[in-house]
Amino acid sequence: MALSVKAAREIAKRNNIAAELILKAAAVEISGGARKDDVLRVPFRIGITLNRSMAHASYFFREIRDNGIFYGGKCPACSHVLFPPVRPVCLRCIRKGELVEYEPLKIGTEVEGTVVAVSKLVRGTSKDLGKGVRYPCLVKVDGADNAHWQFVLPTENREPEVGARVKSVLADQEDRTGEVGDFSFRLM
Amino acid sequence: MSLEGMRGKVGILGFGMSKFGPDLSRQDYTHYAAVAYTKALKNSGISPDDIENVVYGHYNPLFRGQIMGDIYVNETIGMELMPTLRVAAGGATGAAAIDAGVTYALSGRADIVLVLGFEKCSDTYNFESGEGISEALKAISFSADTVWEESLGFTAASSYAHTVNAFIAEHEGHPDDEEASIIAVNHHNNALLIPEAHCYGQEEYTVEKVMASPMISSPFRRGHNCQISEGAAALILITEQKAKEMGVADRVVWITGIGCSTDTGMVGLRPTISEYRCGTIAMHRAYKTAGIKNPQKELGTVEIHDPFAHVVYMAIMEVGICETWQETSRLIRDGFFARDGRLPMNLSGGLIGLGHPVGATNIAQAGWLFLQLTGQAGASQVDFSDKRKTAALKGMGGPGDCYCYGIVMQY
Repeated sequence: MALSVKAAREIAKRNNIAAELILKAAAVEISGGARKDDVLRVPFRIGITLNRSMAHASYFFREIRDNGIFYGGKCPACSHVLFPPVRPVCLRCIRKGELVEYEPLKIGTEVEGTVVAVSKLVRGTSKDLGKGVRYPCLVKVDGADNAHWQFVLPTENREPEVGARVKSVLADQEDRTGEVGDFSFRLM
Repeated sequence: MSLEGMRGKVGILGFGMSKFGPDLSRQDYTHYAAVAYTKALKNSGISPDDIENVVYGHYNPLFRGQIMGDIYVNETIGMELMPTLRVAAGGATGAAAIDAGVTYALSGRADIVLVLGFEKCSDTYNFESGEGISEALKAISFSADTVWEESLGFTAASSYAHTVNAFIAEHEGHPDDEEASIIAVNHHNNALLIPEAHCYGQEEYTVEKVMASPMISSPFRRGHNCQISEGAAALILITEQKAKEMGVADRVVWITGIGCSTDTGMVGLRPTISEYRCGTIAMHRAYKTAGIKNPQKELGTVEIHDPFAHVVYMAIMEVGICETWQETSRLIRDGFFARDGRLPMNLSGGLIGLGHPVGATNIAQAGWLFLQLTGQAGASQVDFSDKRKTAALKGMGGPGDCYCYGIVMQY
């Protein structure tokens, strides 16, 4: 973008430097390549379809999708608890060099927890990412040793805030896909 | 502990960068990488035959739909059969590439190393919506855990906001909107003096303008955010022994400290959410190597990774310049970090002003430190007669800012 002589002089004056330096700098632009009006663009899609394995967490997603039941993961050796079971092996025991797999820990048809971090997505940067207000939060489910990234739904009068108590909300059965979006949280 | 290897210290002999911008589609990424490379060659005074190793910094293949683009840059700049390495560490990719390049030189495997970072992002485009930024943000979102976080609609802004909001809650509302805006103004306006900068030619920011800009992800306003850029930047690294043999040692800015720390990518797995532990650890590792005990007094300028202005406020404490939020707020408001302040920050413009072509960003920031310390910064040059010619760079990136690199340099 070209800089006007007037703008260059103003910047130079404010910064107590020679206007010539600014004007010289302004002359530096992209050189070479195609002419700006001659750039050809063609559509390109990375047409790769994945069939993703949920591996160790299959039980977690299947139970929510099919039965509406929440599970966490519990280490049989040290009782470390993850909700959701984001990693297959105990994050505490592995620090001592011990490989211990988490075991399924049945919680029930709903989980409760506390908001430990909030972000308020005020407006999407594009229509493609959606407009409106959303609240991606970190929620620490009762009894878990970690916090989980998840949306928290506000009420008519309250926004999610740190320390707020929340309860799980399941998507309608026909809308569940076996992914982490099958549930969210709402303020209690 | 010191950063000396088989052939003595390692430092920066030359720097070059292409234009950083939102759309360099007139040039292929191999083209602007070649521009940065040849400018660095000319700046250093060496010839291509002097280079013994190349490290590439390139973050995201999804931007271009091209895996291992470093190969095609490598053959474009005539480096085939050269030992090469490509590194990726999210936003800190450039700093990671510098770390790798310095390590090669310290090991004795190479006397002169080219570190070349590049990124292409303007190819991302949604034909249905007619927008590009959303596709770039989607490409970035795949850095998050794709089973547990990305699929929910993870964005870098929301990830940063979790930690920043937790920090603000613990520090009596600081940084506030005005303090973050002062930082953004400093960085953006510094870039107006650098022709290669993304924001070059744009209007100056004022605190009022930034505070009036729309909220994107609370507390981040549009004016607090970094740019989504493409471009390339290159450094020529040289060992002390080689520099003496070539008679160029007096032109070298020595890298006296490097520290690195990698935290969990999932913020929810951390014991504390209100800080970037890896930032503090990486910088203190770098200071320990460089022998820096009082950063506020010993540094002449700093470059901070500034994807959002609020993160800079936190970084001022992480890098040990201030110990308390009260001091941090006071120094920001007093102009301590302004262009004419005691410790000017992000004279390059940083990610907010210079731009953020991810693989090239920290390399360009290091390059502008090199130019400042050696008096080659042109219109952007500040007077170092009352300052130590010691500088620090903090690079960070990845989901939850899990990667952090601290680099200290001295002239």
